[in-house]
Amino acid sequence: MPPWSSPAWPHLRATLLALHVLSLVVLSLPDAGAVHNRRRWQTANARADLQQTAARLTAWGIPIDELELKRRLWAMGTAYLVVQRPLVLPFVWYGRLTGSRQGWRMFASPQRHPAELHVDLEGDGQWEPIYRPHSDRYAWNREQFEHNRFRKFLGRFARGFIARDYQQTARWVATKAAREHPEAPRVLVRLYRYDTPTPQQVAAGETPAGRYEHAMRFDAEALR
Amino acid sequence: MKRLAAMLLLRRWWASWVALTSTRERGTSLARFRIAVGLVILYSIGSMIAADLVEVMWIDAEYGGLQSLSDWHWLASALGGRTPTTAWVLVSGGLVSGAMLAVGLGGRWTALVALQFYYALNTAKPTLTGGYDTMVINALWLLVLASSTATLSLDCRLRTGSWRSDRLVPAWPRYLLILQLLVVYGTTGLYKLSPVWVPGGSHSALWWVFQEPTWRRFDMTWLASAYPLTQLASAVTWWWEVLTPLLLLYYWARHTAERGGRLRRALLRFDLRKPWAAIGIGLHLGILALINVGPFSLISLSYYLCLIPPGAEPSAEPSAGAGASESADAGELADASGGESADERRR
Repeated sequence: MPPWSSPAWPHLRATLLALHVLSLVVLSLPDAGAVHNRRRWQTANARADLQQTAARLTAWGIPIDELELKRRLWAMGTAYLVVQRPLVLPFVWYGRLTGSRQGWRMFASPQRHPAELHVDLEGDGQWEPIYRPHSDRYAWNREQFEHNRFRKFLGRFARGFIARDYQQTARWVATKAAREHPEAPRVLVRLYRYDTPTPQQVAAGETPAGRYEHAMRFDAEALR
Repeated sequence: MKRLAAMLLLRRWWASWVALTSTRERGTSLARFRIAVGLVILYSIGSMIAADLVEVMWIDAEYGGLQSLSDWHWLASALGGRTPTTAWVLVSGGLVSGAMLAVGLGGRWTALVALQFYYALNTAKPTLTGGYDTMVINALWLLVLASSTATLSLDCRLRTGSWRSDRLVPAWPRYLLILQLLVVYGTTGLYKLSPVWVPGGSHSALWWVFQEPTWRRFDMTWLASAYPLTQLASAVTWWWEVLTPLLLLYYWARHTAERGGRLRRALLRFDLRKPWAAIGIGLHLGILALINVGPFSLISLSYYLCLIPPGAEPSAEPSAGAGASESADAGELADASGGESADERRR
């Protein structure tokens, strides 16, 4: 007799579905990666969030500075994780096996200090741009760089810089550029960081002045 | 005495839960969802082929890929790690199973196979995946559990000679998909604690989102003249997401409508699902038009298809073992969980 024709089946199925629902809810709670990620806490975005929140609380009669707020939030996160970790534990294998996990942080703290990937080649002793995001003039390899997965991946360097990921990316980009531009002696890959202008700055016609970070120069010949 | 009352209450809850999970309905909604998920998989993988990114993002740096990748997924490991051959096997398998899912061939086995291929592709490295991949993978797992090819499928055509069938299927996968959607939005709201989102803050969140070079499709500085509108949209988005789990209260009120009471009557005064869905659809269409987040809006909107009830008389399956009264309950429960209104059922 197949199990689903047994009178106990509806109860067994109801139990399994209750466990699935529980798993869905528990696994969707913010985890340590969201609560205690030191790299994220140190980003310009997170610092701005802390500053603004501290200023707002102070204005509401709860005097606190950015550092103290950060310390308290970290402590609250620690207390939360003491509860969250054992709650999640029984469901981790199920989430891993079936992929039934949920942790959607999209736009949680929108980027206000983006970093763009810029690629240049050396020519006549000067650096010539070959790629700038959203530029029709410097559009080398645009099809790949502007695919949503690539854009999302590059955008992560502004949110929580991972040196190894960046170095591998810069090397891959430089290798491709070197192979497709056999005349270029050197390739420069770097991030251009700037503060997104406010609506008022845009209305006043101000353009953001940025700065370059994590510049990596490659000998093109060695990469070909 | 109190213990007895509590036991009786628990018993009643359990009977309701068993009846709810025993509800059956026509398979149209699940079939529409299956077709949409299949098409999203084709788009998601197809766009990677079109941009020549398969051998960039889905093979290891050792073989010329962009990053060092993980092969913890059993299929990636069984195929020999993140090599170009593995990537193309996974891509081909994903495309074939995605197409089979869309046409409805192979029942739940196709969903299981598609899940393995898509999951294997998207466990290569967390920083190369998006929230939409998680939503696709969640959808596939629920399609493994669901009878989604009962109608609008090649399976149905082969079985009955027709593309459509009125065969009843378990309704709980559709309820779980709706719950999934509510949980996704609710938890997303929980993550949005930045002062640019929360009440009392600047509500400038969407201004920053639209300016970010990672997401925007084109120059969005023109929005400066409509900044108050972006603030309003930010506030609406935040409240809508945070309050989404309360929709469960509405479903509960519909399920227990016969018990009456002021709160239930107030909750049932309007069909809250309609404005909720209208805001959600508007939000995703806005995202689709203005920012490039791949198949994110498409897979989200696929879940919305589960909100549309199949136009059929729901009934409890005979093996529920709960008797005639619980069968009647199940009908009400199906109605409560996104099913048609009492009027519609009467028709």
